[in-house]
Amino acid sequence: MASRAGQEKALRLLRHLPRVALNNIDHPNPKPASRRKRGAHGGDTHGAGDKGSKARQHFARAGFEGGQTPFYIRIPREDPYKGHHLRWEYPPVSLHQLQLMVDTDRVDAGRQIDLTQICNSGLFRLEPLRRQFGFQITDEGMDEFVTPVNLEVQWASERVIAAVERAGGTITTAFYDMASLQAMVDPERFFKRGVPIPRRALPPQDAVGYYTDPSTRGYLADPEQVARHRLTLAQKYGYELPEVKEGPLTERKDPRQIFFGLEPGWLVNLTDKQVWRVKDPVMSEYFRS
Amino acid sequence: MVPVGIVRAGGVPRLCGRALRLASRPVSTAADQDDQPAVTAGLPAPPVNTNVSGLRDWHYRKYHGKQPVVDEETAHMRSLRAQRRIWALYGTKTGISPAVGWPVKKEWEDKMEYESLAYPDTLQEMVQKHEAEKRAKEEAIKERMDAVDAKMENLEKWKREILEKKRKKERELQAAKEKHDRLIEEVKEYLGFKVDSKDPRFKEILEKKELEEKKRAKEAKKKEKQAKALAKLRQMTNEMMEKEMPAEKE
Repeated sequence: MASRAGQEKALRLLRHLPRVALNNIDHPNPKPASRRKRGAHGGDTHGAGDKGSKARQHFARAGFEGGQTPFYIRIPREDPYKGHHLRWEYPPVSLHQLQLMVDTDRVDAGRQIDLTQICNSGLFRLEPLRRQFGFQITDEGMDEFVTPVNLEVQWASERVIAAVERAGGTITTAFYDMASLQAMVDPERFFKRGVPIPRRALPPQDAVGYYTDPSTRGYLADPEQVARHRLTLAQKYGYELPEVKEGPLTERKDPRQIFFGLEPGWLVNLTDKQVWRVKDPVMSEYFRS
Repeated sequence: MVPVGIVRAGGVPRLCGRALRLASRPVSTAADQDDQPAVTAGLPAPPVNTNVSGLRDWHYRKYHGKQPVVDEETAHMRSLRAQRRIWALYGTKTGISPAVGWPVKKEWEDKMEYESLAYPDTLQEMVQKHEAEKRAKEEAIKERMDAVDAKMENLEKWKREILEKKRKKERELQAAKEKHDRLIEEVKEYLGFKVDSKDPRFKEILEKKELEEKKRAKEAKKKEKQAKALAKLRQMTNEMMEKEMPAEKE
């Protein structure tokens, strides 16, 4: 209960006192100012105690716990990247990107859009030496995909297949081995090597199931089965299956073929614009099988 | 700036190879022309070096799309690999036969061996293997499911059995406990004070009691027997008397 005079005195004082700040009030200070260990009371061992490794700046390795099994050894290892160097990758190309490419003439929708066409557009790059075995087509933009295309990719989900077929196109999933991929990705560079076009290999055992399955439109599947699956898929997703006429939308490569119009074993010369065939019977038989 | 072509060697400027070549080009002067004998008029003109770029020979050729020269410096270009590339880049004008492109015998054999190891199965075989694997997996799943279904049928029964077992055990325990308590009570009544069951006296007393009970049981049995015998005897005498009585009456 301050008196009137006391209150007035306090107020008068306040006018002359400095602003309240941390440096003029009593408050807990968690980080006391570090003081140099110097002088009479900080000297001699300077906070290091007597002898010992610490005083001699010869500390044990990081993580050492005086002999107790250290934390970094005690905790069991986990291998999140185990086998990552053996996994095969399929870089994505979305339906939205594909539609854009078609609309901006980066890719010709009048022919089959395969790996080579997508790479030639300049927008996508495939590195087979980094275990990238082709493109997968993703469902982003599947609602707005309207162009009938003849698409050949290495992996596609059911929804994507439905979207492409609803637009009146066809889609195939095909396998290319490493040598074929290197030819596909940059044909010009491949032809400058002066080696014959390779024969495409069959898919490995664990991929055979996918590429012989008509429900995934595998290139080795029975065409009749594929037609049936087209119908059932249309029924499943509830769209009218458009008629697909024989023509650019139905042209397919042979399972051993890489380029349209060129067979395995042929030698192409870009300078002379010539194509040479094999005459040797053994080689010819191998390349044609 | 030091003009190109002049190399400092030990502080003394010297002309480098290229500059020397440039410097050694034939340059005709007015004086020379006057002294030319008439004999040179019919001879062909000396070759004019058109390479004013100063590029190296191989570089000039590459730039102008000419095939490379293969000599002791570029001996590596004699390899099949290099020959194939030269043919591919420059065509038949190189004089290289297209046949170099296809594999030679050794390469072919290696290729065939590799393929036989890397792709041992035909497509049909691979498909069959795949189908077999799929079927095996499905069968394994089906087997497990069937086993589980069979067990589920008996589940209620087993539950009841287990519960019954448990309850029986409990009951037995309870009965034993009760019997134990009853015995203690009986012994207590017999003696007048409580004896701990683990006490040796307890056992003695129990034994005593058992003996007494046996005795009593024996006696009871004996009595029963006697009673039975008596009853029988009475009956027999009654019968005998009945037989005699009618005779007497007569």
